[in-house]
Amino acid sequence: MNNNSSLSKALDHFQTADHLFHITFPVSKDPKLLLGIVKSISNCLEYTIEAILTKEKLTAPEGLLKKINAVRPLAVKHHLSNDDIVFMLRIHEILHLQKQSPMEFKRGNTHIICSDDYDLEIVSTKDVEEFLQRTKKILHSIKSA
Amino acid sequence: MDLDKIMTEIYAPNTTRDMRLTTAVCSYSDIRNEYGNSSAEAEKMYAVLAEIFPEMKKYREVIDSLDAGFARGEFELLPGDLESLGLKNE
Repeated sequence: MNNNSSLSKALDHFQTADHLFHITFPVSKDPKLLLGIVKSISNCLEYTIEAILTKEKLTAPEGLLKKINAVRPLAVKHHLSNDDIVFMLRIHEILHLQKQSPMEFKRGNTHIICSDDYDLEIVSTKDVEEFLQRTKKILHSIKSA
Repeated sequence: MDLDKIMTEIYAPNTTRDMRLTTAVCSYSDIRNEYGNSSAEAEKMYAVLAEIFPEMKKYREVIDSLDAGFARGEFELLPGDLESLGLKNE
């Protein structure tokens, strides 16, 4: 896959996430959708990192976490800040916790992921709005590089 | 919300205990939304579900702490939040 093709797929996933959040979510009002949006953001980030790795003629590993680790040494060169890397890890963490979680439920406008030890990962509309804005910033910065 | 319907769902065949507990917690969370946190309906449902699932006590505490967070506005996007993170909402 070439660099442009990866970026184009990244943009597709971003547009899906953006549409789900700004058009579908206000209608359905189902916080479960927030997790779907996080998944689209995760896909977008994976393709964005893949675009960087392809540009550097490196093979992209499978999975967001391995891709984040692969892109870390190149972060400064590609204008990715430490906050951007921490954000990507948070996205990975949310989806990882969801896979492990024995209990999920909605409370108000938030989707709650509860661990075996009753530790909570709370995904709110506020979080998802921030995730989208940060993803947009990363995507824009990689596209214009 | 119909308690009988929820009990039917909880005791549906081919469901695991985790699935039944999830139904119980989601239903309890929903009834608190619908009738109020300390409503008679919510208390009645809690009493029934806590008899079946001892974990309900812990989940009630979890939901109480979440509601305290909502009351403090912790999960709402406030003007300036995005800007403070260097993320301008265009």
